[in-house]
Amino acid sequence: MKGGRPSGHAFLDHTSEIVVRLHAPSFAELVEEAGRAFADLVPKHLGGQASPDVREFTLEGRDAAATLVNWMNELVFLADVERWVPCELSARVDENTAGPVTALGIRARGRVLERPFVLVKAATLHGVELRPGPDGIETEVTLDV
Amino acid sequence: MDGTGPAAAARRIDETVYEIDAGFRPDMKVPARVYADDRLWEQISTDRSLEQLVNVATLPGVTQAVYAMPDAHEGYGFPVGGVAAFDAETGIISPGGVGYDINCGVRMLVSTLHADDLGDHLEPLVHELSRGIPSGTGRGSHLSLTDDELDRVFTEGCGYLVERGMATPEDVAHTEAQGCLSGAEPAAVSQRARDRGRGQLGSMGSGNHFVEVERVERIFDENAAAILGLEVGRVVVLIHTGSRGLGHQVCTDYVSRMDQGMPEYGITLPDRQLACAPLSSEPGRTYFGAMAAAANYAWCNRQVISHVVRETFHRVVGPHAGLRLLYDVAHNIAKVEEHGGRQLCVHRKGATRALGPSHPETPVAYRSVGQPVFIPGSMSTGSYVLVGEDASMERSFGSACHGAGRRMSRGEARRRQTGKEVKQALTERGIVVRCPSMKELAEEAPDAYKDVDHVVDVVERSGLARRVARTDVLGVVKG
Repeated sequence: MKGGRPSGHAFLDHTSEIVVRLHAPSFAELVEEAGRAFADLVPKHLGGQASPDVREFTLEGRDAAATLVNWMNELVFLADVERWVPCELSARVDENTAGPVTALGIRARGRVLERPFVLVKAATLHGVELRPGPDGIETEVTLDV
Repeated sequence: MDGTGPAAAARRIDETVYEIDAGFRPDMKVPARVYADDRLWEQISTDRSLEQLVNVATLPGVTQAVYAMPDAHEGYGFPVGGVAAFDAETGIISPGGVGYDINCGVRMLVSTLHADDLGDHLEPLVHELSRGIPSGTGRGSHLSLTDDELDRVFTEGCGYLVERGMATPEDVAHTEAQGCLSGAEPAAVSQRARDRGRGQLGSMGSGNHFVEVERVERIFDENAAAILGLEVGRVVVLIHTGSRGLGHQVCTDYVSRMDQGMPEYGITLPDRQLACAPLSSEPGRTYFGAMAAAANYAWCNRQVISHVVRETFHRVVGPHAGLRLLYDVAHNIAKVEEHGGRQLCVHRKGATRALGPSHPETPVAYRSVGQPVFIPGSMSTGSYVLVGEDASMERSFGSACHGAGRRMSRGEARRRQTGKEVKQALTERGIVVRCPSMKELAEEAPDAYKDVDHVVDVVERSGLARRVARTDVLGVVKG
């Protein structure tokens, strides 16, 4: 956390999918919060142990919304194939990109589940808009389940 | 309800058809039509289904009208229960219009057994099915494929499983597109998609996927039922699943790619999840090749599960317990079809193809009645078998609905009933349930869905398909 109201997330009702509302003081913290929200969806019975290994990610999208969705889809892939979900996250925005293109560097520790987590099929671009909120940035991401 | 929204602009043009005129929004190219009566309209018009349907009506090359089936509800991009067709030369293809679970679909196996024959076998049968079919959050397949084997699944579909001894030629004949959509391009499927799909063939996944043991409870059309081999008391098995992580990743890859390419095509979208490309463009063709590969994987997935179901019936009930495939139909797919002399790319997102008797793709065995259509209800309400009507070609590009349709969010379903309560209620009705997660069982509670009897009644009154039989549920294995 880098000041202001802490980042947070909530799951909203949708007829068939899961909508996660995210808010954070900055875009980097929003990305970190998205990782925590994803980890919150993992059922306890999948178990798993924290791994000391640090994973590093570099991600890019044609704008910040696409980059956020790309990050959540990275998590979907890793949970399905490697059973990995994040525990501790640190994100930074690469300031050297042109125009709306947004690039991220993320370092994360995670835990490896006893079984893969496949509830979430994907994160969608449906209605993803980053907007200023009372405490920074907020948005909603619809997850296909 | 917003007085200026699409619901307020809609007018009822028939007993079961509402229409939003193409002039409702300046960017609409065709009208939006909803198959619903008053009661279903009330449900469909309260979430964002109509707004999403109107958005689809703005896409390039869209033709005739966009349709919402009676089970429609809010999705992302397209509504679930949405049908739209685009000119194959000038129109687009949209990965989001197919959905992440490419070729999610339903198949029905008809057994040689009557319900009375099951006797004490039901409980162990459902238990063994739950052990034999990987399901739920976090269970993969017993079958792991090499890259070459995956390529054969992509390009040969169910035909490959005949060679592997997991399918029969009759299975292939009774699967939509013979279980192999042409145009599959293995090279268009990413390594990530392969990694997700390699170990999941023959698995159910989670959410609303299921394998149900059912009993024919009622016949509506004796002649059609006889041709389909259905009679009261007959035990059938309904399987609902799709292309698993492989299809999910294919959609993820191409939504991202097309989203990045939108400026190049000069297409302005009301919702980024509708990202698309001309079908004739390189990205459009490549997506079609990857989608076809994923569709063929999905048909193989349901076929491998059928193989396990057959083995389980033999082992638990006895060698006399045979199961033949009645039909297998997709409900998340895009296909190039001829309609009115034009080649159209028809997107069905949560909608089932419903060909009438005269269509050449209706299997030979069913040409006197029409293509079988399955409309599952919920865990306690049973399902319907219908057959397609020729009239549906003009009414909905030959489409009908794919289920009862959700009416309640997963959160609301959980707030109303616990998984334990759902299980107890089903058990009290004699329904055997196996589900790896009580939370997901609560989310799939029968009350979370619309009344399937009513939805099917509207399907029939709309001329989309006609009822043949109704089933009730004996046992459920939930994903």
